[in-house]
Amino acid sequence: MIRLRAIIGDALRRDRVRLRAIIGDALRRDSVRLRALIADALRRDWVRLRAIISHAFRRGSVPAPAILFGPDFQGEPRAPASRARGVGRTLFQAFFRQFFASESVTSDMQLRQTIVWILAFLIAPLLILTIQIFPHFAWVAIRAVRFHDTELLDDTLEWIELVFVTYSMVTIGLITVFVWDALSFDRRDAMVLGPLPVRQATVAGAKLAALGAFLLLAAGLVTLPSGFLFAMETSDQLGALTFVTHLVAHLTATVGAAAFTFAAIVAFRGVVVILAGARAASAIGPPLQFLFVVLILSFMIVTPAVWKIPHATLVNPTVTGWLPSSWFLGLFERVRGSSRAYFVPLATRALVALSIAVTAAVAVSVATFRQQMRLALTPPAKPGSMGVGALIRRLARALAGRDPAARATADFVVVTLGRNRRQQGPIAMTAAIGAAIVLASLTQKVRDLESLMQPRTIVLWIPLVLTYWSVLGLRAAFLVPSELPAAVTFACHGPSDTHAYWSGVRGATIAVLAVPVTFVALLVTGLLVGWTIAAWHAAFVAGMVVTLVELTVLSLDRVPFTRPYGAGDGLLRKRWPLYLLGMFAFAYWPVRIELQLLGGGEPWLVAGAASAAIVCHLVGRARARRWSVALDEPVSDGAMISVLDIGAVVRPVAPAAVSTSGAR
Amino acid sequence: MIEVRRLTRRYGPLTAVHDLSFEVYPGEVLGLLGPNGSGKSTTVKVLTGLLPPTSGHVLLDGQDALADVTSYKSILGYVPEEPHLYSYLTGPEYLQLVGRLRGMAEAVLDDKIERFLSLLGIWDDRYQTLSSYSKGMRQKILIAAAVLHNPRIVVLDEPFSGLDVSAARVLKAFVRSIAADGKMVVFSSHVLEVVEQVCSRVVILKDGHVVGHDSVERLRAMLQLPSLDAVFASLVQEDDSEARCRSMIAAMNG
Repeated sequence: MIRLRAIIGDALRRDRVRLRAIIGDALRRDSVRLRALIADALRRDWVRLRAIISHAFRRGSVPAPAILFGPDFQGEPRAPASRARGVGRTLFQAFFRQFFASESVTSDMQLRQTIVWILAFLIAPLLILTIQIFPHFAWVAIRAVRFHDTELLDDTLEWIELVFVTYSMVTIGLITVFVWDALSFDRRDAMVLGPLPVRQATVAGAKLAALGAFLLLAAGLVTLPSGFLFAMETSDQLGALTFVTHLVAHLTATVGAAAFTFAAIVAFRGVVVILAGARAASAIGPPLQFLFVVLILSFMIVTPAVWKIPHATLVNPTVTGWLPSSWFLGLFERVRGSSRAYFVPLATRALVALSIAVTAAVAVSVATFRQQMRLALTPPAKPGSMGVGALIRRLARALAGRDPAARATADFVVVTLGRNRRQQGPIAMTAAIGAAIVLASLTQKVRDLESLMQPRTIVLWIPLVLTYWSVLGLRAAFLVPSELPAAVTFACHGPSDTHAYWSGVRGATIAVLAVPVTFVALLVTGLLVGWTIAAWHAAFVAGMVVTLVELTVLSLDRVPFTRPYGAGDGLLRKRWPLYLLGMFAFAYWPVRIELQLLGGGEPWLVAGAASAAIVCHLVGRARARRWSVALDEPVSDGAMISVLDIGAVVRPVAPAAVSTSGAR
Repeated sequence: MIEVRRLTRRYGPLTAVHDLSFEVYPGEVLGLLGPNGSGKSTTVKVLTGLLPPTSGHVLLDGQDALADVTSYKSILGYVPEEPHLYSYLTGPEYLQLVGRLRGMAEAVLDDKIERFLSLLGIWDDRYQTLSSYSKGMRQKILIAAAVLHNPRIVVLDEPFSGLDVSAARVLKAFVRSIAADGKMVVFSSHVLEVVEQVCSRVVILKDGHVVGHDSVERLRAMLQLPSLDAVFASLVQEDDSEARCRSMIAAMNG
C-alpha cells in the first residue's frame, strides 16, 4: 500500500485531472474492493502497475478497473451474507477491544484491576451522595405519609433525580473522553481496512455497533446500581408499585442522559476530525479529560452545597430550560406520571435532543469513516508549528545548558509531551485533581470577591497545588514509553556520560512547568492582592517549583519514555495518602510560613526556597551518574523458547568453516 | 582495524554466537551473511556496543574497544535492521536529535541535514512526521543518521531494505566509496546479490558459528560454485528449496 500510495501520490502531484477523476469515480463506486484489487496487483508486480497507471493517464476515458484489470473485468462476486456477518462480528470485536487498549497496562490481569479501580473511582461519588441525601429523603417521606404533604416529597424527589441524572451525564462523559481516540475512525483503521475486501457498510456498521455496545456497558455500570438504590430508597414508605415506577423512570432518564452525553461527544469528535483534522481532534482529548475529572470531583464537592439551595430557586424555567440534566429530569417526571405540567416541555426537549445527538453521532461517524478512507491514500497534512511549544522548546534547550546531548534530550522531552496523547493523558487527569482541590477550597472558604482580595492560604497556594499535581502527572507520563523500539536511538547515538540526560530532562521539566507557573502566579496574585506581594510570591513559587522538579528528576534514572512501563509505576491509587501528605508539605505548610513572614521576612523565604532547590540540584547532579541508556536485554534473533531445551539435544554440530578466518 | 576475537554471546541457555573471530580492515566492506537466527544481529549489536559479549573481545587498533564505549561509539555509525524511529518527529527533527546526541555543532548539523535530505530526495517531505514516511524514506533517514558525524566505522544491518532501485544503486556506490575512503564497513544482509556487489569479503554464519569466511571469489573457487547464492546454499541450507516450495504451494492450495 505504501508503494501504491507513492505511485498514486506521484501521479496526483503531476495534477493529472483525468486520473484523479477516474480513481475518484472508481473509489466512489466501490472503494474497498478496488483498493483490495489494486493492493493485490501491487503485490504481484508493482513495476507493471506503475506502467498501467501511466497508461491510464493517456486513456482517461476508460474506467479505471478496466484499465487495471483488463476489459473483461467485472469485479469480484459479492461475498455471501454469512461471510459478511462473520467479518462484521470480527470487526465489531476488534473495534470494541480498542476501547480497552492501553499502553500502560501490561497484562489482562492488570487491565481488569485497572477497570475495577476506575469503577471504584466512578461509583465513589454515588455512595457519598447516597449517604448525604437519602436520610433527608427518608424524613421527608415519613412526613409526607403522615401529613399528606406530597408537594415537599415531589420537590425532594426531583432534587435527588436531578443529582443522579447529572451524575450519570458527568460519569459517562468522563468514560467517553477516557476512550477518546477509539471514538471515531482514524487513518490507521483506514490503512488496515483499506486493502481488505470488506464493504464500507460492514466496517461502519461494526464501528457503530461497537460504540453502541460500549455505551450500553458503561451506562449499565453507571445507572443500574444507582437505579436500584434510588428506587429502593424512594419507595420505602410508598409500596412496590412505586418501586417499579421509580426504577423504570430513573433508568429511562439516566440512560437517556448517558446516551445523549455519549452521542454528543462522539458527534463533537467526529465534527472536529472532519473540520480540523485527526491531529486537532486528538489534541482536544487531554483537555477534555482534564475538564471531566474536574467536573466529577467538583460534583462530589459541590453537590452537598447545592443541596441546601431551596427547590424553587433551582427549578427556574429560564435556567433549567437550557440545562440538559433538567430535560432528562423532565423525562423522569413524565415516565413516573407526575402531574406537574412544566416538566412536559422539558421531557419533549430531552427526547428531541437525544434523537438529534444520536443521529448526528451516526452520521458523523459514517462521514468520518469515508473521509479517513479517502485521506489514507494521500499524505497527511504537515504538522503545525507548535506555537507556544516552539518557545518552550527553545527555553528547554537553553536551560539544559551547552552540552548538545543535553539540549537534544530537553528538546525530545518537550516534543514528546507536546505531540503524544499517551503522555498528555496522565498529566491532564492528575492536574485535574489539583484543580478540583483548588475549586473545593474556594467553594468552602470564599463567600464573596472581597475575601479573595487579601493574602490567604487558599489564594496563595493555588499555583503550588496545581504545580504539585501536574508534576505527579508529568512523572507518570515520563514512565509511559512513547515508542519503545526507537529508544535504540539513545543507546546507539547517545553519549555514555549520563549527566547530559539528567540535565536535559531537568531543563525540559523546568521549561514546561516552572516558567509558566511563575508567570501565572505573578499575574493572578498581582491582580488579587497587589504587585509587591505578587512579586515576592512569584519568586517563592519559582524556587519551590524548581525544588519539586529537581526532586522529581531525582527519582528517575533514564531518559523519559525510553523504558518499558513497569506494572505499578507512578500509580496514584497506591500512593495517594503519600501524595496528599506531599501536597501539604509542598503547598499548604510553605504558604502558611509565607503568610507568617509577610511584611519583612520575604527575602528569607525566597532564600530558603532557592537553597532547597540548590541542594536538590547538587544531589541530582551527583546522582546523574546512575542514569543509563542501555537497552534492556533483548531476546536473541531467532531465539527459540523451549521449556525442556530439546533443541540443545538435537541441534546439529556446526560444520567446520570452509576457509580460515583472516584471509589477508 | 577491528578484530573480533573468540566472541561468544549467550541469552540464558541459548548461545546466539559461539567463538566468532574475524577482522575488518580499513578500506574494506565485510559482508555478514546467514539465515534467520544465525547470530548476525547479535554480532552486529555486540560490534556496535549495544550488547556486551558473554566472552571474547572486540579490538580496535589493538585496544579493547568496549572498554571505552563512548569513544568507540563516537567513531561508529550504525543502521539498525528495523527502521525504529520516533514517528511523531519530522525527518530533520530526528536527525537533529541524533546529531545533538553525538555532540555536533548546530550550524554544521543544520547544514549537513539540509544536504542529506536534498541528496536523498526527502527535502520536500521535511515537514512531515516520520509516521507518514514510506519504509524507504525511513531507511534513508537511518542511513543519514548513521553517517551524519562522518564515522570511521560503519555498520549496516539490511541497509537497503525498502529502498527503490535508483536509491539502492546510489547507496551501493556510496558504501563502496566510503570504504575506498579508508572507512571500515560491516554489511549484514540477506540479499546475496547486493553482498556480492558491495563486499570484498564475507563471513557466513549458521547457528552462531562461522561456516565460511573469505572473499567471494575465493569461496566460489574453493567450492567450485558459480555464485555467492550457490556458495551460501551449499554452506547453510540443509533442505531442498524446491521440495519446500512445493510443500508451501500444496499448503496454500489445500
